[in-house]
Amino acid sequence: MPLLAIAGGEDAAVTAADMEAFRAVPGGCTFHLLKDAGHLAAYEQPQKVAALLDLWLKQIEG
Amino acid sequence: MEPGWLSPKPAPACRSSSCIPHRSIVTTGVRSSRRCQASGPSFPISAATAHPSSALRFRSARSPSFPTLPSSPWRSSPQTSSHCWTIWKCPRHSSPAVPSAGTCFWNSGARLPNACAAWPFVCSKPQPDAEANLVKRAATIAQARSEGVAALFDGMAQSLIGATAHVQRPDLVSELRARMTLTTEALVAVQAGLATRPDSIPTVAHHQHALAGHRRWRRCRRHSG
Repeated sequence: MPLLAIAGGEDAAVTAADMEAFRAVPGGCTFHLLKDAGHLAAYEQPQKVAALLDLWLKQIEG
Repeated sequence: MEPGWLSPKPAPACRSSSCIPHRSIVTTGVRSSRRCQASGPSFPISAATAHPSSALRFRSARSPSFPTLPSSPWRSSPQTSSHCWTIWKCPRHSSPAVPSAGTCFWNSGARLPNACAAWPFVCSKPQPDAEANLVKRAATIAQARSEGVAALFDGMAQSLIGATAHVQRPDLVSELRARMTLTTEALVAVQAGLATRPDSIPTVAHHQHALAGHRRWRRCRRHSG
C-alpha cells in the first residue's frame, strides 16, 4: 500500500520526528516536510499539499 | 490534536451485537475503533468516537472558502484540515482523494476490500499516545467537563495554526475557530478515542479498513462493479 507522509515544520502537536516513523512501515513511505506549515498543513498550505499529492499520485499511478 | 472535533454531532450508538473491537489503520487520529459487521447500509460505528455527520457532510463537501485545485484530483472541502485521505480505485474517478476526517469509520472495507489504493497522511503520527500525551488529554477532558469547550477551542485555534500562517493568513485562526462546534461530550469522546490509538506501524501498509462518505462509497461501489 503506497503511503505518503507530509509533516509540518511548525507543527507542535505532531512533529516531523513523529511522522518520520512512517519510514519504518513495511514498504516505506514517501516523506515530505513543509517547513512553513503547522498542524493543519492542508488547511494552511492547500496548494503545496495538493502539489505534493499530485506528484505522488502520478508516481504511484505510473 | 486532531481535527475530529470539527464535526459537530456525536454518533448514535451502534447496537449491533456483531460490533467488534477493530484495529483500524486509518483515521484522522482515532485508530482504535469498532467495525460493525452487521449487514445493511454502510454506517459508522463507534458510539464513542465515530461521527457520521462528518462523513455525511461529504455529500456536499465543497467550500467556497477554499480554492479548488483544477489540476488535482484533490478537491477542497469543509474537511480540508483532514489528516488522512483515502485514494480510491474508481474507474471513472481516477484516484479521487476523499478526506477521511472526523473519525468516520465505515464498514465499506468489508464491502470493497480492494478499493483503497493508497493512503496520504498529513500531520498525523502513527504512534500511540505517549504518557505525556495521555496526561495532556486527561487534562483536556477535565477542563472540557468543568469549563466547557469554548476556551479550549480558542486555544486550539491559536496553537494548531503554524507561525507562518499566523502572519500570512491570520484569518485562518478565526475561520478554524468557527468550525469548532463540537459539544463537550463529543470533544471528550474524541479525546478518549485519540488516547486509545494503537501503534499503526505494523498494519498501516495493509488495507484493513476503507473510509468514505456515503455518496462516494456508493459511487465507488457502482463503478467497481
